[in-house]
Amino acid sequence: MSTMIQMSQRLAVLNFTSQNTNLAGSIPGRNLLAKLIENVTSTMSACPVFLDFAGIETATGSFLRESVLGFRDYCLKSRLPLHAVVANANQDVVEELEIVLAAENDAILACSLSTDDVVTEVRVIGRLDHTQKLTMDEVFRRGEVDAIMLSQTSDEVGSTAWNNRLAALSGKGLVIEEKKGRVKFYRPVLELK
Amino acid sequence: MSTKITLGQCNHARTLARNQNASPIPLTFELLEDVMYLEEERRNEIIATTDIDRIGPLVEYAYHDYDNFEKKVAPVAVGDEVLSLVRTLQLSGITSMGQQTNLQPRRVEFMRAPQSMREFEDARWIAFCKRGENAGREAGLAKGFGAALTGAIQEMVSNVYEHSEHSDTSLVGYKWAPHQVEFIIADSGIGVLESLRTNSHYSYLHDSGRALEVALREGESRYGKNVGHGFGFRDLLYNIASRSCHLRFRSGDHSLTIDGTGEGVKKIVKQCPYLRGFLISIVAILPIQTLQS
Repeated sequence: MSTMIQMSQRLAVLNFTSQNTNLAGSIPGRNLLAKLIENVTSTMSACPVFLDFAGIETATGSFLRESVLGFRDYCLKSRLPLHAVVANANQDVVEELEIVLAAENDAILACSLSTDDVVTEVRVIGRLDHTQKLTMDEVFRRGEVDAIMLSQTSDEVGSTAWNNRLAALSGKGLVIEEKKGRVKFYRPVLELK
Repeated sequence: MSTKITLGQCNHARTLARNQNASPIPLTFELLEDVMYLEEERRNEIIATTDIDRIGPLVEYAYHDYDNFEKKVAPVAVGDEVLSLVRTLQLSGITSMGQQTNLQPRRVEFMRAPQSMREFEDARWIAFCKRGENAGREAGLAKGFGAALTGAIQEMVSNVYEHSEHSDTSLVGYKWAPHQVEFIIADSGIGVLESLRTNSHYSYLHDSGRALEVALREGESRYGKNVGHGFGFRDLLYNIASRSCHLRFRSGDHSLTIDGTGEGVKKIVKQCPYLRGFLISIVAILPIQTLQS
């Protein structure tokens, strides 16, 4: 499954690390965070920002915590419509990131991204609880949802509960939240077609 | 080349003094602890000579009395290891070092660790890290293992900058020979126990041995338990379990050794003469068949 991204940004990590392919330590992680913030372009509408790890051999947990999660949190706290996505990370980097995410009950989007911006292998890495995972699957499947729409799928879970689950996913930057009138709608950052 | 260094009185030294024809004995951590205890008791009238094979004990000897390292080491400075160490310790930081950006590893090299966030991006520091990684490769380490090992070293250096409160005293070094490579990181800062105790969660800690064990446990640092910090040692410890490495962590009046060079991995926590700050020594000694796997 793949999708072409209409509007996105790609920040190649290797360009910001003086071509250093083994990334370690929280201080170098903070240095990368500063460069990511400096180089990302602010947008009016929702936009995935691919943190492209192509060419990076290893990255330690503390480096990833400060840089990747730091950037994701910066976007969320600044209320920028930017959604951090880890792209082209090798298995070692993904494993290290998963450990950090699991320790904090957190998750982030990951994918493969070709040189001509074709996205494949979209997935959530880290830890989502069962209900959040169920909700994420629904968002991926339906494309756009609101809490009332999801509450109609089951008598057991009311709209407030769905609303909380969707808000939790939005709080991790995993879905795009948009208000239309008085209703909040949620859609995936990367659509599976 | 055999490097000779003068040491104080110790049991080994007495043996040596009795037999002038005996070969110089290698400076090991065990010998060093013996010397340090005797120095603390101010019983250092007998002179002995020893070979410098590993840089770990040499650096630990210098850092045992960091403010007087020149008095201890420099007067008998012979050989690459000692000269390189003394020259580096005399420098204030990376910016006072020459423009050495080539990537060819030397047999032995020391460098001051970064003392500002900007210095972590200094081309000289990045080149030094690359030379350290290449030293591992020259020694015969598999590429992935060498990268993981140097990644762990960089992680520890970042920790020194963050936690030691005296990163101006920090030092990093490597030495390689066929089939073995050694890395050393040292600082004369507040040490692991005091660093952890800055967090009230660890106020129960009262000895450096326990503090070393806590600090090396996955996910624990002065920021508290499982809050996303302290993951830096994971790769390294994993590799120790599966590869043939000897690690020594030294802070305050304890050492913690993780030895994977024999059968299985053995961890030993031991009381030692007091050393201010934190010192990490890593030696990888690998048989050829293991190196390329």
